[in-house]
Amino acid sequence: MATDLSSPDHWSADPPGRRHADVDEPLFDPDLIPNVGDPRSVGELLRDVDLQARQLLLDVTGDDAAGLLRGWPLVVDASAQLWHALPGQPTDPTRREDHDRPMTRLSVLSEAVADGLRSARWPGAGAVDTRTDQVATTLAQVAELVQRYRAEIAPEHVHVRRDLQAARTRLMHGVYLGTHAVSVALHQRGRDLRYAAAAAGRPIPLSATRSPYVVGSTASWLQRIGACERAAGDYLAHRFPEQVAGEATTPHDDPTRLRRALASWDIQVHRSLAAHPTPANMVLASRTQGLIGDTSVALLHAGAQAGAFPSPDALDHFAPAIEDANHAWNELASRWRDLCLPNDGLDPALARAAGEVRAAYGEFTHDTTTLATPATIATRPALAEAVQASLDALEAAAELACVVSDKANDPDLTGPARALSLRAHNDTEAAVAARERGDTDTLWVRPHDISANLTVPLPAPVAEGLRRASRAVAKAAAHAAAPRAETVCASSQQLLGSSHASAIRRPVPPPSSPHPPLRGHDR
Amino acid sequence: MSTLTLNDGTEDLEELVLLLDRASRHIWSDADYASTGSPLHPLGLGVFLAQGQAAELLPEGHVISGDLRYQVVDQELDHAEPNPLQLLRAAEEITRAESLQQAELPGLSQLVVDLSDLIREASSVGY
Repeated sequence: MATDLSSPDHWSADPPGRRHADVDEPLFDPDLIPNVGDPRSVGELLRDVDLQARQLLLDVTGDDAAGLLRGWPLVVDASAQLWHALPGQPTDPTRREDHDRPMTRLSVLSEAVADGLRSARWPGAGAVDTRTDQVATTLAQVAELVQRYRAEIAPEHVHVRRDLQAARTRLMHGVYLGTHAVSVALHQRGRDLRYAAAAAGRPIPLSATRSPYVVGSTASWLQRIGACERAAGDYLAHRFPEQVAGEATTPHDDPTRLRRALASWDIQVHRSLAAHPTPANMVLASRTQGLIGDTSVALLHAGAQAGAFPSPDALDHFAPAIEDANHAWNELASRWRDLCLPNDGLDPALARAAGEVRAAYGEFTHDTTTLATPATIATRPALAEAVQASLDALEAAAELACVVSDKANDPDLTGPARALSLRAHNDTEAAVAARERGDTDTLWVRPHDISANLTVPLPAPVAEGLRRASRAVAKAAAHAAAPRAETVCASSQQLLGSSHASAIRRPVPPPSSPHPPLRGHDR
Repeated sequence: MSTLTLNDGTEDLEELVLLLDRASRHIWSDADYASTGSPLHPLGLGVFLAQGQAAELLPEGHVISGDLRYQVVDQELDHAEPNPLQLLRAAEEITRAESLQQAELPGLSQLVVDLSDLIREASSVGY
């Protein structure tokens, strides 16, 4: 043959020298058919975003903060792209504006973050966290997919509209999780930097307006990301911006956070127990009081380590009383828990207040995610204020204990048969062992009720045990409140004058402090 | 309370609530024997609060059947002896269920975030 047909040059009219692959054309035009090779649907891709964001949230550390922050605007940008690609928006411009407002707000906040990233010293230029990059890529992929098939979607059908709404919710859910992860990383970075600086003997100066654990480089980012997290969270909780515009929110970077949290708790627990004295709320109230006492002791020990107390005897004098009260609160909570069904809801306002107390104490007691040592807690800024706020709360607890005690006298209390039967027999056996009772053969709950775990009235030993535990709380809480004032306040003053004084911020008067300020305290 | 009806995620939610119930009981039981200042106290409170959040997602007035309680809380898990971290992970897994995702429950995303935070916290206390 004059020509070699096996030569690729003969397969096309292209000039000699070009290989087959060079002239191969794709089967699909990528501009028309997006995501070639990825058969996943919009729902599946959004589900993937959810899983990626969850994984990110579980693995995040302070070292990830810079990369996550750099990547976050990409995520919001891709989300906005998808949001606007989804059909079904109202045609009326005003209604459409309202409809899009949650994402518009996020976009605006994100653009501000992106602008800030270009000029801020930290995090500066650098790599984007691969995980946020992956989330953004997947979201962009979904947006392309929706855009391509948008004309075939019929939002006038109810089931399609529901599907579209579900897609928006899932989208915002992914943004919310991702934003929380950035927030966790930033907060963690702030703590890491502060500990590193303290270890190196060069404490970071405290901000006059922000949390003691927010360092300069993360402060404004935390504020911005926090605003974005709230915006996404509001949408998901069906709290639309127009409805929450006037809502007062407690900033998480408030230096008086603990005192404010405890003051709010004191008010809310009285309100909730007056209006909804359910067993679940009683458990929450008792356990939160136990936490307040328990953490107070930890803070006091830390204060002692910082040289705040005139002698170890001072701490030895009142710490056992607080510990006894904690034990009593926890025992009472355990007994109220017997009366709870697993699906018993909590008063949302009470749950929020308790959650804030828990979080505010965590700022002092937790190191990264583990409990900090007393030595570390002793270096915390604003420790003196925290001790004082805790002691004030313990004094208020004595009155709350009386309120709680009254609830145990309700003759109509009921609970699940199995837990009550078990408690009744345990209490009976304990009474027999203590020679307070002679027999152990009483059947306190009918077998049929136990078998079906029906809700039954309190057996006599359980009701008496609840009242006894309530009286014990009232007594122990009063005892724990008694020794505060002089010794502790004088000691706190020493703490303010200790080597950590430079790290302690000038305290802000509490909203409703039941006590005068610390003696000699510079307020 | 949510507007869920039976069989559109309610069963998943029931199991979620029961797992959190078991986890908080377990943690508080451990906390009662722990020393002062134990991280188990705030962890137990956090899990109990999450249980309350999950319970809020159930239909109003819904009561979890005694049989399911017995199955999830008293029987099945007793054999496996899962620790609270495993229970929390199992609870978080349930929030991924398609039935819950489709139900569009206000508060579910917050619960997911809180569960993730609690898993990190439980990991750090040695569970």
